[in-house]
Amino acid sequence: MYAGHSGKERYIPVHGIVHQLGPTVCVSLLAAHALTGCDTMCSMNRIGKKTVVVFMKGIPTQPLCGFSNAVVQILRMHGVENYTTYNVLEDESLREGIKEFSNWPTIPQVFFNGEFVGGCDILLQMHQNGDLVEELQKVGIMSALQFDETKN
Amino acid sequence: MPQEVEDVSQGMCGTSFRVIIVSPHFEGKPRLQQHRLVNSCLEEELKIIHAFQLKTMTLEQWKNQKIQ
Repeated sequence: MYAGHSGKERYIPVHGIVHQLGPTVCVSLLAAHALTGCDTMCSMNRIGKKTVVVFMKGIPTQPLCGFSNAVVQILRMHGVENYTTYNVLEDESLREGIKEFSNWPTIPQVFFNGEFVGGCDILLQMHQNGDLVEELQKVGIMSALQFDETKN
Repeated sequence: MPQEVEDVSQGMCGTSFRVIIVSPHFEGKPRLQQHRLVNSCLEEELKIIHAFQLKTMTLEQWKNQKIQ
């Protein structure tokens, strides 16, 4: 592949790179990119915008699966409004890529700071036993439920 | 080993399941790792199942739940 412009053109041997990385990594790359954005270092240094990322079916205002909806509702209860979502129904390669990336067979999938937290069942259990408040706090998010507790 | 499997697909067609697994293997492992253990055992099955709800418990957690 030739890339670049005005004298800065260069040849990137995509086939060679693909061969070197192997099929598993290649499939996961798209998902990794979805999590980290273009600037990988931002997310690694935990200053990225993508503190909470959800791979789901549909969008938060219109989830197309009960389990995705449950995740959205749990986050809403904790006052988490600003998070990045990806609708895997719109992109089959992302749907498969994220499963490969996180080694997790089902959607939805929740990530805090690029780290896989779990799917619907795990998030629900974390919500029920209070772990979610703690985990949110670790990534710098004050849960609305925690706020309630301090008020009381 | 206590284990519960419920077919929750519409019309019980065997595509959606709610599963509770109690095992000493879960002892001392975080929940994510417990789920991963089960997922790895069901790798092939999960590819064709539509929905899979899982709850994992250690023997102690199972006993405590029964008391409640």
